[in-house]
Amino acid sequence: MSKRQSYYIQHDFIFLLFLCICISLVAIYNAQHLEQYAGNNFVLKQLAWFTVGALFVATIQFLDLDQLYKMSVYAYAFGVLILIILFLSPESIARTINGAKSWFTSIPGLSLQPAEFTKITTILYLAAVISKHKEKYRKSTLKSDVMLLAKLAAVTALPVFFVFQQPDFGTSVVFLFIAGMLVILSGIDWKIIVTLILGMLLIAAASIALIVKFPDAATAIGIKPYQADRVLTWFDPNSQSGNDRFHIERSMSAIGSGQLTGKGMSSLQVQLPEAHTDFIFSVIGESFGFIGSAAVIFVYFLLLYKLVTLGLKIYQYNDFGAYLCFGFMSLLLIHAFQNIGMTIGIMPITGIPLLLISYGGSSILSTMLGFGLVYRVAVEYTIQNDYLFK
Amino acid sequence: MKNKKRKKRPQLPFRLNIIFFIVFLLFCGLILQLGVVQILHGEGFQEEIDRTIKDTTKIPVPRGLIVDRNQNVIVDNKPLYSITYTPAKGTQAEDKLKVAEKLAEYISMDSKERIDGLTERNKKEYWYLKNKKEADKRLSEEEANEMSNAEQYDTILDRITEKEISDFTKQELEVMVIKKELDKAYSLTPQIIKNEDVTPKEYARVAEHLDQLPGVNATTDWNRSYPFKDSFKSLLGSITSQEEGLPAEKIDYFLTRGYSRNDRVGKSGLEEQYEEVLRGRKEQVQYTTTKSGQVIDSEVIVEGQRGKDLVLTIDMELQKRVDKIVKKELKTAIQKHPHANRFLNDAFAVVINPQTGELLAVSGQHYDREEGKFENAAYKALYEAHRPGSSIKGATIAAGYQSDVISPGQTFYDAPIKIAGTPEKSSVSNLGSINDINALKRSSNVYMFYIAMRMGGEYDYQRGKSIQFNPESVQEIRNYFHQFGLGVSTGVDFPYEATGYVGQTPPNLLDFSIGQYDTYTTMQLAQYISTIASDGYRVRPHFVKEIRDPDSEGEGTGPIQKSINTKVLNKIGIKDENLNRIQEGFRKAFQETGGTASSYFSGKDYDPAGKTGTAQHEVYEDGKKLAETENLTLVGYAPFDEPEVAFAVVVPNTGNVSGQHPINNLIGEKILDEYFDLKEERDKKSKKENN
Repeated sequence: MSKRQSYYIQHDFIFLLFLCICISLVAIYNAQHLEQYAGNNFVLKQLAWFTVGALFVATIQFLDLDQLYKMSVYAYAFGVLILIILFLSPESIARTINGAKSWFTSIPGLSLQPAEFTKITTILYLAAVISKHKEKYRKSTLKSDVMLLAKLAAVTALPVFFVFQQPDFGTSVVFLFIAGMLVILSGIDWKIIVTLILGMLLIAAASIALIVKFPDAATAIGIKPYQADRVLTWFDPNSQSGNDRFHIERSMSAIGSGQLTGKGMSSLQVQLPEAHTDFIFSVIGESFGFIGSAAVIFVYFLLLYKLVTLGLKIYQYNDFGAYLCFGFMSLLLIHAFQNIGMTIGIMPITGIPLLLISYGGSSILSTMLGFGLVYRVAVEYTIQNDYLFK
Repeated sequence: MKNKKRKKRPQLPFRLNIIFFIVFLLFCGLILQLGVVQILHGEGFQEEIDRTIKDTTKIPVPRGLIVDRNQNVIVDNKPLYSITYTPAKGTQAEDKLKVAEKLAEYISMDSKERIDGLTERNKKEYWYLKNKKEADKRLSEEEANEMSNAEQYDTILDRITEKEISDFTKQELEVMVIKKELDKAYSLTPQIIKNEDVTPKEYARVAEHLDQLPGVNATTDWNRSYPFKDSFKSLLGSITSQEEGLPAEKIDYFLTRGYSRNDRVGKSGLEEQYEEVLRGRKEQVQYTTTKSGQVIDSEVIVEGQRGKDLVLTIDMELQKRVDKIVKKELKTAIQKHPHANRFLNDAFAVVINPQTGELLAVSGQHYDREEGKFENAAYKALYEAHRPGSSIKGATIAAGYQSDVISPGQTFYDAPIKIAGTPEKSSVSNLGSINDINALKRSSNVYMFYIAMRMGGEYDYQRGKSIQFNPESVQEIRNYFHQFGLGVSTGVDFPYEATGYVGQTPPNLLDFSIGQYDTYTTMQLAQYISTIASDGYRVRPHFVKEIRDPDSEGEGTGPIQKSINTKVLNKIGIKDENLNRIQEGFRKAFQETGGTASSYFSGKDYDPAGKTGTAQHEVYEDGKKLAETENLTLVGYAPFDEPEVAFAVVVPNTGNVSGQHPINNLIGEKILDEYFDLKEERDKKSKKENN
């Protein structure tokens, strides 16, 4: 293998991705033993998604970071455009599922969730915006910081607006979380950040108080009743809707009964709805117990760690690449924490999948796109490093 | 390639470290909570999952058979193939639809009345299940948020248009019919989906594909069948259909005895009387289900056993012949005097073994004048009471002996009796000086009047004089009659029997003494004559001879589980020699010249004895007297010395016409003839077989 080619083999990322794929396939295989999946083969489908996703990853490697940087604005525009198209689509091609218009459903058996892709394109563009800003304002001032903040806010607000219209509260929060992380890491002055956080907390506290104390008034100012319910149940588990309580009970029962070592393959006892998608972690917990599920969390943690260190290392050469890593890391983090937290009862129920593990075409493809980007960053770092120390 | 090398800004690693530290803490939090859920509470969750629910399902068994004393099957079970459905807990409408669609391939349920029975709602529910996505869209999110699930469902159904449910194929309609039946089932309780016309082919196809039909089973249900048609059937009674289930008026009684609401139980006759015996023991299967409704185990906790069989005392061959006799004579009487006998509709006969109380035949024929048809109405022998006339004079004489108002051989002068203020009363003809035996032989009314007067305290009758009877004497004479079963329950093993009408005002002692006052059932008269025939022992008449366990081999009856023994209810309190005089009077009435029934019974080699009776009666309608009629009765037994058969015949409301068809005597004569003919036939047959 030539030196040139070996840049493209990032052993640690390949190994971690391979682990995630294995975990995903095994967990889905196990989930399929539940009665509700009779006749479906999600393992094969998921494998197909991963394969297509791997092609995405490979394709991205043909572009270097500069090219990615240049095309980020177009990617972002595309990401927002598909949200607008979804927003304008009639029911016939974008059916309302579980009360939200989040999917293109025109092709039977294949529903596409555009917001998943918009997350990646938004991260890409946010990284580019930060990088560009830093180039322009080598020395940051309070004014330049405010400008950066305004840019980031604007870039994030656009997709969030459309996601919120679907309405998909959970995904909106994901966007905000990623943007928030990047704001903190972009080097904006603490004072601004603290003011911002305090202000947001105040607004959040005020709106939550409004919802809790005066639910009627809250719905009057445009908060949907089900959203108010979500918030309410967070504070009072007893008032959870029957469906949510059912989900949590089942999920806790599944994970809890896995105990230390789990029940092994093909021996699930708890009938769990959405076991192959949003509740895949419950299947892992039941099948492989504390040891297995803690191991999965550890794999995730390792992945996050790799992303953080990669970002830190490339920061010297290419801050665009670094913010890409941080953005993608934030995405994985919020999904992992929210999804796993939900299955063990410390977070409210939202339809947020466990990236790289939950079954789902859109989420796998978009995550693989994001993975392709950070992989490219890793390749770039290796090349740079090699070049420097030659 | 741009190489933007510039000074590291210190805040990035610092902030990144803080953030990564927070990430670390968050993940630690996840692991900690995992530990709490899985290690601390894990066992609790597992126990919760393992907690199972045990449910017991009862599976019906066939009822016991009813056979006659010669093992001829009277009530049989006709097996009916049936397709049943037992839904698991939490079975959803979609699951039922799948079963229905599958089942429609194997069985045919597309008869016109079944399809016509589909309601609009059935069709809409079907359409909804088939077009769920489309249907759900008809309810906006705002509407859905404001409605309960049931309201949402109803609203969606409302929005399905007529047109959409108007165009189903026959196959779809059939699926709907099946689905409708499936929907009737409660979880874990078998519900019959189809049983009346399941062909063996359908049965086999369903049985072969049970694995594809969760909850469906191919079983057999039973219908009662009656090889002897409607002969004796009204006494056998009937059982409820599955739709009727437990009779409402006795529902608590049955439920406390472990019946299910849709169980078929005896609702009348012997089926009701012996319900406990015939019902059998249901198979009890205990299903163990998990919390989520999966059946993980089933265990038979009580083996099923079909109902025990009843062996009746009835001789169906004799029963058939008696039915025929009664019908023929009734028909002849009606045809002979159509006008005079226009109120004659019924004739009853009870044939009994006087020593044991075994009922050999109980027959009742009813002429339905509107339909112009004769029908079996044997139950009326227990349900209807009529004035018997002179048949009960044996009891009057016994009362005389018992109360010491007459002594054996006592004579009275039979001439018309005239008491001031009442019509003159006499025997059919003036019989002159007559003793107790001849008073029975020739049916002297006057002799009975003297007994009655003396019991009333009047020993000094003088023609035309007014008499003051002791008012308690009617009750006293009734009490003597009760010893023969007249006016009281006979104790027969049947859910209902009439005990007769007790005459109220004014109590007429003289009429009472000749059977012109209280009314009695044919069954009571049979017990009365049996008591005389069996030397004063009143035995309980019974229909059931033995209860047998079901034959383990399947067909026929098995070993005896219980024999119904002869039960003596009481013995008449008179001396044997006095009773012998009554018997002798009865013998002469049947056999000696001048006896009231001698023209029918003299010369019979079976040595009969008995008593005729004619009671005056009236037919009223709306309080208006339409006609004077007569009840013709006859009681008798044979052979005189060792009685083995006794009978009572009651024919109410014959016309009061000269040359009346002697229907009571003819029925009685032919019953005894047939009884002894049949006995001889059987003797010959068994001798032939032995040789």
